[in-house]
Amino acid sequence: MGRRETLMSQLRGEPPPTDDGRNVDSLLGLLEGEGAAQQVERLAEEHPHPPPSELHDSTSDLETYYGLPLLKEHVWKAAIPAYFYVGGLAGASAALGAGSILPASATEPVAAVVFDPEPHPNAFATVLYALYAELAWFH
Amino acid sequence: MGAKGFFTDTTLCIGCKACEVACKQWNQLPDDGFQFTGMSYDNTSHLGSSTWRHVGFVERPVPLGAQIAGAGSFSWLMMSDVCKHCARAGCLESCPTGAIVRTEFDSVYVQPDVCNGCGYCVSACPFGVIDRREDDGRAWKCTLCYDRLREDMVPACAKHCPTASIQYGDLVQLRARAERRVEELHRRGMPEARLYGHSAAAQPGTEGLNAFFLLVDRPEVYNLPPEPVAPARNLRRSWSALAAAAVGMAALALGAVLSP
Repeated sequence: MGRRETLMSQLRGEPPPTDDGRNVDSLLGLLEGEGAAQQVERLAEEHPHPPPSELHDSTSDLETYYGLPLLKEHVWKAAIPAYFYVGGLAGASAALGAGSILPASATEPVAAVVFDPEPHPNAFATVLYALYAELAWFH
Repeated sequence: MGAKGFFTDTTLCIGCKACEVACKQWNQLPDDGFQFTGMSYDNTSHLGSSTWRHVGFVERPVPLGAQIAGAGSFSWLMMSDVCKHCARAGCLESCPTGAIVRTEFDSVYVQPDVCNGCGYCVSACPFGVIDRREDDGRAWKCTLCYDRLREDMVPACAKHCPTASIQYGDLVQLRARAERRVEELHRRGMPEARLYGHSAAAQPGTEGLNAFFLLVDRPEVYNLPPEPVAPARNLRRSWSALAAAAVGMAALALGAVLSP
């Protein structure tokens, strides 16, 4: 520990020294353990603890372990469920919109329906579809 | 090879945390940072991406059955928690890349070079064991020291446990030993002693744990779920609900369009 990566150590092909708490001197030991590939940029933030004030007093609450959550929080961003929701809504609206021209095709000439270059007047479905397409493009 | 696993006897645990240190050293896991929780001697507080063994400390004003007066109505429970390597693992079933595999030792192993960091396993684990490291981007958990097992060595935590609270071996033998131990504790006047997840019959949600425990109180006290269920067990129910919803939606839509 305390050894710095120098031009000479780079030229010698030595692995860079670790300063992430692994305490492996790269001159003496190799990083070949099962968890050695785990990359570290910020140390303290990765194992967050609730502040003591949020923890329950063990004597007053025997049901839980100091009020700590049992399960891990999901790692998804809010945009992902929003994407599924908007996508589903848009898909359903598009299906409804497509269905709405079905009875019309029975009475109107087929050509007017099939080759209509204008967007369908179902404005709600169109707006939602545009929103969905935009979101899909961003992803 | 045969199924291997851990039997963690919490009545023997003295809370020395040698398992935590041995795990970190052998697997070359990064530091968690020196943080003080202020709640007990437990400053690790939970399992995580860089914490594959965690010793929990429960302080409670309840005496144990076999406790002799002197300490008053007070007892300390210590438990070394670890990935349970479930016979039916939620993380393994949810992994879309195939990064999580079952090894020849019946343990559940995450291949870091395949994991793409989607995080499905994190919410699929009913025990809250596996976690994704944010600055690494991949999910990590206990490997049952796969590299040591391949060389016929005992996992680092079990090797370092000074009281044999963590016992490693063939699952069949461990189960028999655990049942004998519970009977012995009952005979010695400790009726609270019970096994947690030692068989598929005892824990149908996970079909049994390859790393099971002997507890002296309800599992909630140790931050273990009383009835964990691998999420994929609910697939049939959720897909049939989805099918019913789709049929209903289609009927409603057709009705709205086709009605005169």
